Amino acid sequence: MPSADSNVLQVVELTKIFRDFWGRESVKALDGLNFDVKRGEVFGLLGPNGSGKTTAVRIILGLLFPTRGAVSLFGHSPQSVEVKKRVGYMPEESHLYLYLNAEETLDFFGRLFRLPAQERRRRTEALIDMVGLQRARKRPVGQYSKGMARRIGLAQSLVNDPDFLILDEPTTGLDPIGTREIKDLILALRKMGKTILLCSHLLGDVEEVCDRICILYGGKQRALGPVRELLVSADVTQIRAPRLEEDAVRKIKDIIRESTGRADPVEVSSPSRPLEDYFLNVVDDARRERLTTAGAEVGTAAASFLGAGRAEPEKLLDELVQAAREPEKAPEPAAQPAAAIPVQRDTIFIEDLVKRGTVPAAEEKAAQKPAAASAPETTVRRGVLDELLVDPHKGSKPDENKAS
Amino acid sequence: MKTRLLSLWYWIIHRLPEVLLGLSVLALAPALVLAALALRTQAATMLPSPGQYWRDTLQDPWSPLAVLTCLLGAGLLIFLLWRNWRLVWAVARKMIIEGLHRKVVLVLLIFFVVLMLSMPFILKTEGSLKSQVQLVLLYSLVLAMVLLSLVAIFLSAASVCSEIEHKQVHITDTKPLPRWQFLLGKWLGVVILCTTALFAMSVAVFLFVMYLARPPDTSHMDRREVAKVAKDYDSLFGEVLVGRKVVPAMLPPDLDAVVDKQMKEFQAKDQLPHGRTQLRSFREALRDAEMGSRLILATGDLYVWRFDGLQPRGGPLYLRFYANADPRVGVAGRWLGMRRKETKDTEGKLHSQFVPVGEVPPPPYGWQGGSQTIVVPATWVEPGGTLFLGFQNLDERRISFAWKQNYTQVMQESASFLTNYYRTVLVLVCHIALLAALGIMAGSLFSFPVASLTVVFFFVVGLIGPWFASFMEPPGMVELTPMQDFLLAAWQSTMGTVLAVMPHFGKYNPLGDLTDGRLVTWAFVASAGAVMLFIKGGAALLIGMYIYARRELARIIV
Repeated sequence: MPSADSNVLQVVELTKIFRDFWGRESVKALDGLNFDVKRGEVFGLLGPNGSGKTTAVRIILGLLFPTRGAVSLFGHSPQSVEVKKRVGYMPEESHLYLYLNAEETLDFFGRLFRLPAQERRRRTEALIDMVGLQRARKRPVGQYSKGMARRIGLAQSLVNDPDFLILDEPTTGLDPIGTREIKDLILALRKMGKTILLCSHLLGDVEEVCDRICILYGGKQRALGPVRELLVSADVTQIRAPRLEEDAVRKIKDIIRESTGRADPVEVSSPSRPLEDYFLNVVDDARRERLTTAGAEVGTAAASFLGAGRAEPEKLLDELVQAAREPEKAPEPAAQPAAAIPVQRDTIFIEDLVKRGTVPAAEEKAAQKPAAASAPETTVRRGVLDELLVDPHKGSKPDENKAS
Repeated sequence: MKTRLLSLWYWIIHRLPEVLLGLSVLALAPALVLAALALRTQAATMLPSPGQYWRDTLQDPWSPLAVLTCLLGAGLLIFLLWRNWRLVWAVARKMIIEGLHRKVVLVLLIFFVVLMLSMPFILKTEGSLKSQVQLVLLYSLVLAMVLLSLVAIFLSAASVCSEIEHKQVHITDTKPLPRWQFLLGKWLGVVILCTTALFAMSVAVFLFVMYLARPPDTSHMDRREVAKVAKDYDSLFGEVLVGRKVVPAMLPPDLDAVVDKQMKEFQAKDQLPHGRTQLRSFREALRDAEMGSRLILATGDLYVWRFDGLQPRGGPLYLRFYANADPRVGVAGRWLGMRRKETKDTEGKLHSQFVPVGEVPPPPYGWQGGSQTIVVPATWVEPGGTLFLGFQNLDERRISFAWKQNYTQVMQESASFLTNYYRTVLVLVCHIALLAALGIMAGSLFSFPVASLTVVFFFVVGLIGPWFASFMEPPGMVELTPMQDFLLAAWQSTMGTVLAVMPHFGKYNPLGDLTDGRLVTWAFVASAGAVMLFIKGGAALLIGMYIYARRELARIIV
């Protein structure tokens, strides 16, 4: 049984060359890609637009065939029907049947997994609740807004309670609440032991949820490793404290200068609240006042059938979602010294990319736009990688919270 | 109450695919019963002398082969559906919802009903009830076929390639759904949708025709008019709304021997052409000439046709002949029922001789030329089912009878109109299933407009194929060089293969027989099912499945 293997996905020397009608090479979309995704981890596939992320995902799903190299999913070919039973896929855009409504859509995909009628109904209910589309369940998907369609796209990817979930740009088109929910869901699913491949150029999202990442550029693999290792910058320390008097600040600065023996600038300022936090609060208030909306509502936590059979999923879920909303109490940061959230930066790879002038201007904008909506809830206001991509020169500055 | 009705309505809408599936099964179920009855009749004729039966049957092995193909094909299809029903039905169900959602069928039915009801006003007829019913029946069914063919082509082709173009397959294909089952489900969905639509239309046409063929109101007519209307009415039910078995006259038993003898004479004189095609057409020409000369009757000549396989105590017989005589003048002559009489001569040798048993009264101006149908009493049929009919020319002019396409034939009622109609609709279902399979095949390879146009091309070539094939006849008695002869043979075999591969919509068209009151036989239904549904349709689906399973779904080919 391949489940004994700790690798869910293995990609070896994957190369994809697109040819035109006459068989001439037109695009080399992937060039010698090598990575594996281990059981139970969240793996991020990163890169600017056109770097080959989606091509890689399509090959992994068997929608495209590799020119060279091999992909093995649960130890089998991606074409295998047995493998497909264990995989969930949320594509980059919601390619849904526009004339089916939410219920019919989920029912149809449930049928494809040979689920009995009762089970299909149960899962449809749970998933519609989870993605917050209770009020729109009878409307054809064609009438949905982009974000609502994305939610159904997410729901269909979970209908079989997959072991391996592939999310291609899961947060594009979603409002900040939806984005937050997706991130919470990813963390919850990881806790259930599911494996997730996340494809994104929204670096904030990736930084927050991924264990390991692979960065692609021009179809080539530029970096691969655990996020923390790649991002931690060993030569900077950040201190977070309740509001201090001017005097105390000066004293601390003196102590730091003394201990480091260097006259490097030490910055002290009040951190601003991330926009995401603020936005979520506003919406939470509105919900408390019971305002109704015709669009998507706030979804519930992961549907209860997901990961059923594993240890106390629901209780775990509650805890998790709680934990995800209060990152200070999250288990991993807690391992660090009290109240000191590490500033994780490692600019080597990105700077390398940027210096070569390989990031086109349009892509910079694309990366910049959603940054506000998807900012993580750490003290660092924006994803570090984000910042770096936007302006390479700011990358060397320790913090930019000075303005506030 | 109102909400309960509303929820019932939603339930029905939600269950519409299942309802349509049930309806199409219900519509096709009588086929099994009727086919079983037909097989039983066959068995009844076989049992008294099985050896003779099989020798006769294997003379023309195509019919039993077609039945066998149908049985095997249906068995395979049912087996595949039964084994993979959940997935195939999931796809078919969605296909039906898609078709219903696109309102294709609804719009179609409305168009159809409007056009059908207006047909009696549009069509120009000679004025008799018979020709009116005949034309309405023919054109309504042609209309239904054309509309449904287009729906089958566009729905099947569009739904496969638009799912590829709009990337819905990116989700569907990542589910554990084998690709061939995806295509099978699509095909099944289109077939169910079109079959139910076709049956609905056929029922409408049937009811409308029955309404048109209601007994005329004769209360305000004088006696002569009543007689005329009654005759018209009888001919409607005797010649249109009926299933008549067609029995062409047998060729003279000595024909081939005579032709062979002539060939030998030509060979002895070394006057035979060289080359295979030339030789074949030469022999054909000799045969034509011999047969033609026998069918030219001088004054006083009598020619006797033999017909086998009639019912001795069945309904009236309709003799159809084609004579080369001036239709405005007519020919004096008489149609005679004949009986064979064997006599021994003085040396004890057997001689068979024909003696007349009755005469068809001639019309006042003699027998007309051209194609003509007359009624012959069924009592002339001998107990074995054989009928001898003779024509004696009493005119001073010659008269010649046609053979080949217009060879003299006899028709006898052997089935009701309803069963004949039902078999016709079954053949039309085969047409639609083949078109849907072609659409699926094209859709799995090409993108939308190209796919649909490809199937339309197949459709048109299939329609005009037989007409197209007539250009392949070798040119008369022209002497060809060996090279030309080889090229002609190569051209004939290539085009023959191409046309054989194309769908034979023209060849398996039952509408001419139906509207002419001729029997659409089970053998015809079986060969239509075998060729169109199982052999060609199956091949198209298999090709589509092969291509689809091996292509990159995330790329558009053409």
